[in-house]
Amino acid sequence: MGAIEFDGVGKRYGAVHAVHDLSVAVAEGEFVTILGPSGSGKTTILSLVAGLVPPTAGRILIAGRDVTNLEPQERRIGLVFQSYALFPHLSVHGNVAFPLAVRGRPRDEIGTKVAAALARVRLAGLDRRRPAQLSGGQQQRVALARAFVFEPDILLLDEPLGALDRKLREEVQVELKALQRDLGITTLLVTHDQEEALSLSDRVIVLDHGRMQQVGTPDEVYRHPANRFVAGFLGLANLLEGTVEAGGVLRLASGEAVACDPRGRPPGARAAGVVRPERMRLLPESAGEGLAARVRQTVYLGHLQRWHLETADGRELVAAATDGVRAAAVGEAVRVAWSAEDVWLLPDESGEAAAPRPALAAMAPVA
Amino acid sequence: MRLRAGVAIYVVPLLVLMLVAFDVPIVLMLAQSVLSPHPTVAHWAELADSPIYLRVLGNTFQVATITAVVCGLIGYPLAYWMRGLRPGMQLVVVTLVLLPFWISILVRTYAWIVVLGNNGIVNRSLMGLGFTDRPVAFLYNQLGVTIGTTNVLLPFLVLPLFAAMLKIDERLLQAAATLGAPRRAIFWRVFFPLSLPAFAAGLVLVFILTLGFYVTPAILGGGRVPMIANMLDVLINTLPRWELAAAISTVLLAATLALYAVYRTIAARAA
Repeated sequence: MGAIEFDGVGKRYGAVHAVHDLSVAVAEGEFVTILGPSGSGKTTILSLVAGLVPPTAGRILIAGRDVTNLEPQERRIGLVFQSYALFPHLSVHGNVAFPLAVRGRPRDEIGTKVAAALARVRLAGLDRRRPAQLSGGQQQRVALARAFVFEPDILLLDEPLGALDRKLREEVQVELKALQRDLGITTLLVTHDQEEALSLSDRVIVLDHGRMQQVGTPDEVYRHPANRFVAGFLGLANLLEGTVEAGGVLRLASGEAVACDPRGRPPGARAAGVVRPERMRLLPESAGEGLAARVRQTVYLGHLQRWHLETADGRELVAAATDGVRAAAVGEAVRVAWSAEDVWLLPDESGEAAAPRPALAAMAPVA
Repeated sequence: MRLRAGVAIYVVPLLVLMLVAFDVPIVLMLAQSVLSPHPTVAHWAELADSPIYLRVLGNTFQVATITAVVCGLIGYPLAYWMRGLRPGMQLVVVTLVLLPFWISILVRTYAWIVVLGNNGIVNRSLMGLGFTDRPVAFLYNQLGVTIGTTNVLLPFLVLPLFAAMLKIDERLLQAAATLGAPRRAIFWRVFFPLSLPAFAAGLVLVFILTLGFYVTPAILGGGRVPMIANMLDVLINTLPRWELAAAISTVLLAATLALYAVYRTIAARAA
């Protein structure tokens, strides 16, 4: 039994499918991130779990309880809005005490719990302040304390770090992760930031156009993406398209052979392989292996150095390495190489659509 | 600095005009209460001693209070209901609320006499339905005056309150719901406190505006519910006692300014 279960959940606005047939379960205590570009339906999923909008199909279960038709009040969820939605007329204390007060808890219990929650998010002593008197980071922590102080079954976070500047965001990420682990609370976070998703989550659900593209641990979705969208959304990806040949070789259109693990693809099948930039090694032109390429542009990122390359047949590749590795200058001819295990053949796609699939060919009328 | 000097050329004549044509005459007029015909507090003493003046002042504040309360009791639910309507319907209802503004106050006030008179539609309906066998006295008493002032002033409360309610962030109400607040708690703990500054400002505004009403008490009160403006009319046009009128105007102005200060403070908090 999962802490949150989506059972064929769908949400349609007129003809638009905001969420399409979502079936996935989040385990007790798990930190799951829904990652997707804006408009992918990720915030809609959160609203569905919170009960702010009703689904048009399927069921949602929280802690084994079917909540599909329950009001938000009855769902025992802590939701942190992207805008924080702090009550401007209440003090920090009043905001955090709100969920306890509406449940009619005794005054001294409220006092103890609010103090503990505020101490937990390092806001002790600020309880008399109004939200408007706090910084963005402090407001975010008040919203967080308000969402977990009443010990809800699950915690829902809608782009909670979106409004913070980069340095603060990295600090809060670490804090958030520690907090979630300490509380042991099942957490569903929504974000468009792939770094945030990879660094915070136990599992990532990648979403596009309302459809779940992949669900897996951060390294699964990063290293073994299910399709092109996932490969491209989780960072830079080099896509190599070609035909599988016997003996673990992917033959590119340009004629070059790339070593890979065909994972059961029959020879002759078209396939697309993904290689992450940091798996690509830059070698001198004289090296006996790899693809010949020319450096078009170099990007220095401090901790990383990136080279944008162009192969002889006009294919663009990106290689990256930690700072300090031998640099190649713009215009320099190099070779770029990688190991067979660093090539990930996308499972569901047979490369370019141009080649007719056997299945389709079989369906063609026999003359 | 050059820019400021340029602006001053345009502004200073207006300021001088305001000062000479409006402010100075008002001060001179008010000053009559202590300077006419020579420096004295006699007029103020008369004002304090005569129960009639104090009774009219008290009556005015009473009508203003009742009007503000009634406007509040009708206006708050009305504005709240309007907030929940579809945008198209909101426009229609706002127009309906505004409609009385476009009809002369004199016409509207006389219309009440037709509606509320002994042979008016209200009394005939009440008698026809058997609620009463004698006409109810809606007119020429405080009830009639209050009906009239409420009718005129309701939009002054409803429209700003409605605008303030529209500005309340829907996500705050959603947040309250996810935090477990029942509908009643969402209203009393979140919505009402957030609308309260605009509501209070509206109540104070209605109160201030009622203080200066002349036509409505004159017609619907039938002279039996004198308010400050009607008494000033008598003091100036009939008696004439300018000094006493000046003293009463000073009281009215002071009360209005004090309430305006309250209004500004509340309105600033609402913004």
